[in-house]
Amino acid sequence: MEPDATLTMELPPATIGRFAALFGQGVGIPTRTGIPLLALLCDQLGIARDYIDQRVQTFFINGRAVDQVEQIRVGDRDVIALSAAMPGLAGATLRKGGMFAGFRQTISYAGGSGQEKAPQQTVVTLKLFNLVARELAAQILHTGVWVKGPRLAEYLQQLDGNALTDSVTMKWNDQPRDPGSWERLPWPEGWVALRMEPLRE
Amino acid sequence: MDKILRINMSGANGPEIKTESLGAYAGLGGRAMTSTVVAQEVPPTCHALSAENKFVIAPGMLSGSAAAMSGRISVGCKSPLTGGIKEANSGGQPSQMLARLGYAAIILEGRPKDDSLYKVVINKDGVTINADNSLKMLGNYDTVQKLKTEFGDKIGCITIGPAGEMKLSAATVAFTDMEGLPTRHAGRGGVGAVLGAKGIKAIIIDDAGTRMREPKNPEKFKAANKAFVAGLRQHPVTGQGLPAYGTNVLTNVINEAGGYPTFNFKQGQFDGAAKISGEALAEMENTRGGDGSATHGCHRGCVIRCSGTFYDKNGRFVTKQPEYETVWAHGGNCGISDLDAIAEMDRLDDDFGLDTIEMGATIAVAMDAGLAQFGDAEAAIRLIKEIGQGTPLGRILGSGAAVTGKVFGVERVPVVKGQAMPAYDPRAVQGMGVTYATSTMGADHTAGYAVTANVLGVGGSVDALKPQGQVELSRNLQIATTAIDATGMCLFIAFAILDQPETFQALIDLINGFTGLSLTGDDVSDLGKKILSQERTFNAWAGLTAAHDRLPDYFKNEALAPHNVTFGVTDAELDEVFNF
Ligand code: SF4
Repeated sequence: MEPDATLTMELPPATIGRFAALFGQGVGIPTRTGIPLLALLCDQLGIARDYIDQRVQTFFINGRAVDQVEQIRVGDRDVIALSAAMPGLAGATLRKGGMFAGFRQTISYAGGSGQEKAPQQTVVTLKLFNLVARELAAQILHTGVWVKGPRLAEYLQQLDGNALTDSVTMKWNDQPRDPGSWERLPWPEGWVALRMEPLRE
Repeated sequence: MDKILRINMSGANGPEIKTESLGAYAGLGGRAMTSTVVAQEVPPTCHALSAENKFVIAPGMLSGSAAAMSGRISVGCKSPLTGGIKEANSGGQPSQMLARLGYAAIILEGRPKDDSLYKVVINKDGVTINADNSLKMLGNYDTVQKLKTEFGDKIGCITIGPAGEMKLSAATVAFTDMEGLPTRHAGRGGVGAVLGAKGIKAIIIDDAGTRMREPKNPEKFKAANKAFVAGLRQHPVTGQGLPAYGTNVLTNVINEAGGYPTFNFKQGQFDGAAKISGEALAEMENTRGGDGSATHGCHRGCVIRCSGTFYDKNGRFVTKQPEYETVWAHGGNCGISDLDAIAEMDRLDDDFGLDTIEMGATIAVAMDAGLAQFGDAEAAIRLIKEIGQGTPLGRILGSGAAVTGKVFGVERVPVVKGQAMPAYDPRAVQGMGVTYATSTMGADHTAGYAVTANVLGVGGSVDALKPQGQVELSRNLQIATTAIDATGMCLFIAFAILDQPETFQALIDLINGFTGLSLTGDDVSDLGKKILSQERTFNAWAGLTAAHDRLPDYFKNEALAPHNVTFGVTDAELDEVFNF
């Protein structure tokens, strides 16, 4: 599975941080079905296992609250959402493996499509919320994510000020482009593989 | 806090002021004080707006001291919205100020003989009460501004807006914050209408010349306070998540879980959720800047600081940072995804003195009735303004979701005991539904908020995977919450206590260091049980039966997308909640 275009940018770390909100509605991650979810998160995306165990207290697959991450395999077009610990009774209820998990039994994750079917290429959606987005966004953008063309163009549009003129280099399909010219790029309807390099300060 | 201020508004020659010793109420604070006074002194069958009802204000047990998080204040009465007992609490400065002046409670009783509006002034020299009809129908902001011109900038104010004066069942009582603005509200249950029925527009508190309350055991108190603060700061929710994003951090997560009530509880996910999430709000506040924009406390002494300040795009103050429940009520529940519009509605609610949860739920019901389209922010703002103007439609809306549903013939009205449900659909988070159904307060998310049950040892051997387990947990949570409400501590301390037993111990040590008592976790739990029992008894005498401990039927019959779940806890199981 290939993206329709690639976009690589070199930006100051603070500007990369402003892309954390991109993860709120989710970004695409190309991967294979059937692999352990932890392999996707830790090996492919480089998230430390400790971080998953300790910081990520709230975990959803396809909108269902997860208690045991270890047992999950990636399913076709899964939506995976990660969040830090949340306040309130509702927050405690959604926490993985917490004593209030029974409060949301009807929306708990109970296995999915990744377990049985033959492995295949897929693009899953990864959502990161709150502190987890803030802390992981730069690292995952460095590894690379896929975003649909119109959505990425819209996201860049609403970044105010000179967020993008800070970009020292911008490459579209490996060809250098003027960072100020992003609006004129031939945005495809399909996936754009986006990668960000932190600019050394 | 060694005295009670009692004002009888029915006095033959006008209001009569009495200062009493604590008597049987000694040692009580916050919800323990308000609910005990109401249970002891108010006839349960009285009309909530009658002379027989009483309006009680009580600072928390540790208010006015150096204890962190101790500045919440409770108000209590018989509720015009639920018909049962009510405790609503708030941040703001008045709690600390009243406590330093030595008042453990203010009890307002009777009813004035004419329609004069009164202001009460409390300072170190005593208490005065005078009619001041120049305050009539002023919003909370103008009222406080006028009072500051008269009494100086350092006062704290407890006020009602036009909604309270009109005795509407969604009316709040406002408390001024650290900046002296009326942004903090005892919101739920129509408590503002009861203060309005007493003819009292404002209580002005001036604590000049008073000192911080001293602990009985200063060394123990100081060490416990230090450990308590350290515990709050090191926990990811109280030390990082809440300060960075406020309670609105929940929007994305509850939405992801499919438990975010949308379009008047018709579905569990809202397409516009990310736009009004805590993350989006924090980004907006940080970009716009201004004092206390993204992280701010609702009173001095808060070390979590889950609040903030909302400025418009030109940098002008609009309101405090809207909370999760407010953003949901005026946002997703009404299909609105514009944070500026939501902030404007929060400001209007605060100014007129209206409960944001009740108002959001009411407007969504009105939208279902065809009074406006879902997603139409301008129409929603117009409806709130009708209330401020006191039009007949405004008075209907200001009476809450249940009345509005009845008047306009809407079946889907998300209330329990007449009070609107907050921002968690009980079909997705069923344990929350148990609490909504059985709380003494009507549908209330804070009733079972304190997740301290396991630390208190009352979570025990519950199997939470069985409905019975949910019932037992809900019971234990309600006990624990009630106990924390009695201390006057902000409920958000509960998250740190859940995960860090040493922080819970620090809280107990803090109470003991201050009071000189030797309470244990069990004693705190017993206090919670005792308060709940007296609240239940009051409600039973007021005519609230098991039939009132139910969710509306449609939660059992209409499946909630995306998970297609219905509320599955049976009536028999609900009836077990208060079996202790
Ligand atoms: S944590 Fe929030 S609600 Fe609690 S006292 Fe602090 S600012 Fe107020």
